[in-house]
Amino acid sequence: MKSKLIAVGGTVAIAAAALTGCSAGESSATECTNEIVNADATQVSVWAWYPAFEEVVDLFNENHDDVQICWTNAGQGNDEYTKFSTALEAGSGAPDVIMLESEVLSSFSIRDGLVDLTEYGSDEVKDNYSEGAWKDVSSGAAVYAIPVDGGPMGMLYRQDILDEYGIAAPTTWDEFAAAAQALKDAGAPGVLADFPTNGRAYNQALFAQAGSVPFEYDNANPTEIGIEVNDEGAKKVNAYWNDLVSKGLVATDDAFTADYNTKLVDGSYAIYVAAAWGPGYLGGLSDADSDAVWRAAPVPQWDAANPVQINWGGSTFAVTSQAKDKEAAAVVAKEVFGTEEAWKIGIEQAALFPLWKPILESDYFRDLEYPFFGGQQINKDVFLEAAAGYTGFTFSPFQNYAYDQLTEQLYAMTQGEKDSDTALDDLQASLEAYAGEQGFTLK
Amino acid sequence: MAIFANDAAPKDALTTVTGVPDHDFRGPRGKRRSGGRRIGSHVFLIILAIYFIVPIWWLFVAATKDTAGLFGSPAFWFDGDFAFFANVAELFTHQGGIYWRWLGNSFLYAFAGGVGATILAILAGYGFAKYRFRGRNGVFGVILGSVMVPLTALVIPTFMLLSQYGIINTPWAVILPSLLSPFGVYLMRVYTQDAVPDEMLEAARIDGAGEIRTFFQVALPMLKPAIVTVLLLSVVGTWNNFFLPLAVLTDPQLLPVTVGLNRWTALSNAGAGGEQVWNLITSGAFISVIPLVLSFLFLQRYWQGGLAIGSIK
Repeated sequence: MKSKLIAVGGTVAIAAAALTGCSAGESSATECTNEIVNADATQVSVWAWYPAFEEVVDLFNENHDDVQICWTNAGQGNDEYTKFSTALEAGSGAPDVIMLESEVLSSFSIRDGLVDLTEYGSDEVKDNYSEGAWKDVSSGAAVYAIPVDGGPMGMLYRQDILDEYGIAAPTTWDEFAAAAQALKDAGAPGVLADFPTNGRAYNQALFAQAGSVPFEYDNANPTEIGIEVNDEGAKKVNAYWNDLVSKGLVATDDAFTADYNTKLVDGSYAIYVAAAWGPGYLGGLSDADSDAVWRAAPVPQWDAANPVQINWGGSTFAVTSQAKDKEAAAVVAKEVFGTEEAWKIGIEQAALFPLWKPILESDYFRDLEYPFFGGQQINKDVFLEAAAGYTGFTFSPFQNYAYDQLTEQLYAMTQGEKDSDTALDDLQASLEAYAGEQGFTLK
Repeated sequence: MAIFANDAAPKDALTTVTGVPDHDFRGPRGKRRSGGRRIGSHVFLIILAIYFIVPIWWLFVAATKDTAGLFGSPAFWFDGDFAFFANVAELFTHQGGIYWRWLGNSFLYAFAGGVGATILAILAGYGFAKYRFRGRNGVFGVILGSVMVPLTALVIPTFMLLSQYGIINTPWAVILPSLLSPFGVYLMRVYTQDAVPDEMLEAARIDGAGEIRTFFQVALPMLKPAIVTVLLLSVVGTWNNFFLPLAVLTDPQLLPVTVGLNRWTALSNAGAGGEQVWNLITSGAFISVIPLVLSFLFLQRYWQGGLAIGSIK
């Protein structure tokens, strides 16, 4: 009996030892994933989820004597935003600098979570970015982040499939619809493309291409918002896709699911209307598929004579209101992706599309050949022009909610429950009601 | 089951494993009954078996594929090349082999949380069963009631509480809440009531044993089957725990394997700034269920005995 007692006691002791051993080493919340090079310098904590980011951090730390980055990956997208949000609520726990997608900047600046960088020298680097990229991080006169990467849109297509059915790669949406019809008439096993009802930023970008401006918002008047998600441009594009869907010419699979991934690589879709990070995404899925012949072309246009460029996704570095040393934090936000060396890591290892002009406009980036596209210089052919032509977008301070509602309405539409105009009118009504509940005045 | 156990976890194989009722397959073999009835129950059991095994089979097959194979070959059969060992090798190098760190964290949390919850449940259950004190039924009612509270509802209050004490983003933030196991307390109370006769405790006291000695030397040995059951339940509960570590941990070095794999999934799904590591996710998930499967196989005896506790009054 004694021995059993000792055994139990021993187990507890081991557990306790394991615990204290562990907590002694790691209880501090500011543990860095990377190594600090200059221990005496000011440390700036950074949350980011870029692949291969550790190398970028090391590069920064080696080149800076007075500022050092202490990096943590706090999760991707919503995982990180939830943590940031809780930290803002609690009043502590946020990092000094945080990676945010440009579409959520307003959602955090309205909660006073981000620092206006115009006071910390954002003007010095403004010229390094296109007007559209800069507009995405600005709200009125304020600048809430430094752009990093973007998602100018193009069209990736299966040359082998289109050739098989004698279809030319479409350059306008009319040609796109005709190609969809031709593919179906020829009895192809797949469809021309997918219209994901959960495309969120993707659907919104398609609407914007026809002139839709869903939100008007300036952080200087934080309680005032203009909402017009059912304007003419949005209705035109939505009716176009609903027509293709109802004729069975495009699929309506949800994006970013295993099923969708499978269909992207097995030829179920001949065309993937994608952002500049799309090639990286696609390449990650089908690096071993040698039969597929992928090529890139500009995104189809409504009016070939007046092309409109659109953007899907992209991320930034913002300085949080909880940053201890805001000067140092701003230096990190401005400079971490401010060298060619850092960008070569970002482009080659993380498949990022740079918004930093010195590399964006370099010969290196323009002439880069992509083996996945049979050596095609896709930046020169497609994405550089798309990036240059992008004029920016204004997101709402409740963008996540707006996307969720959009998904709900588009789903109802593709299920045949309502026509395309009604779906957008209902979306407008639900967003207006929500904005009212949240205390906004409608412009 | 430990608090916050896996209810918010994605319904993947990690959680499915715990649902396999192994003992079902034994029942009909012992008794020979009339043919018709046997076929019926066999068909039913076979359907059940397929239902439970299919996800595990998928996971096993998926663990042997590389990313291109995952999306380019039939879901339920093997791809041409067997990439399992290549995947495991990549698990050692990707992000500095952090996967194994996650697995180690899972072991630590499950062990510390499981053992701690069991000790507390034994003490509390014994107290409720064998001592009469003011408010006993009231307190026990509260504990029983807390079994009914949706576990997700407690996450935010728990977070605020932990945040006040400054232990967010430390191992304690996962372990301390895992120590509370209302169901374990209930189980121990019911079992103690039946298994430890009052007369025996009286006898020990008359023989001059103090309360502590009575508990350790008389009562505790009689509670062994219940202890093993509660231990298993709380270890499995903490191992599968998803929502709590998701909410309270930020540092990737501290994550348990459930949350870590979920991060990789998010990363793989991200368009801009994403990284496709589907092969690591499937292989990692497969490896992470092995310890639980093994513990079920080896501890089956206790597990089955324990499940019946409380069912016979």
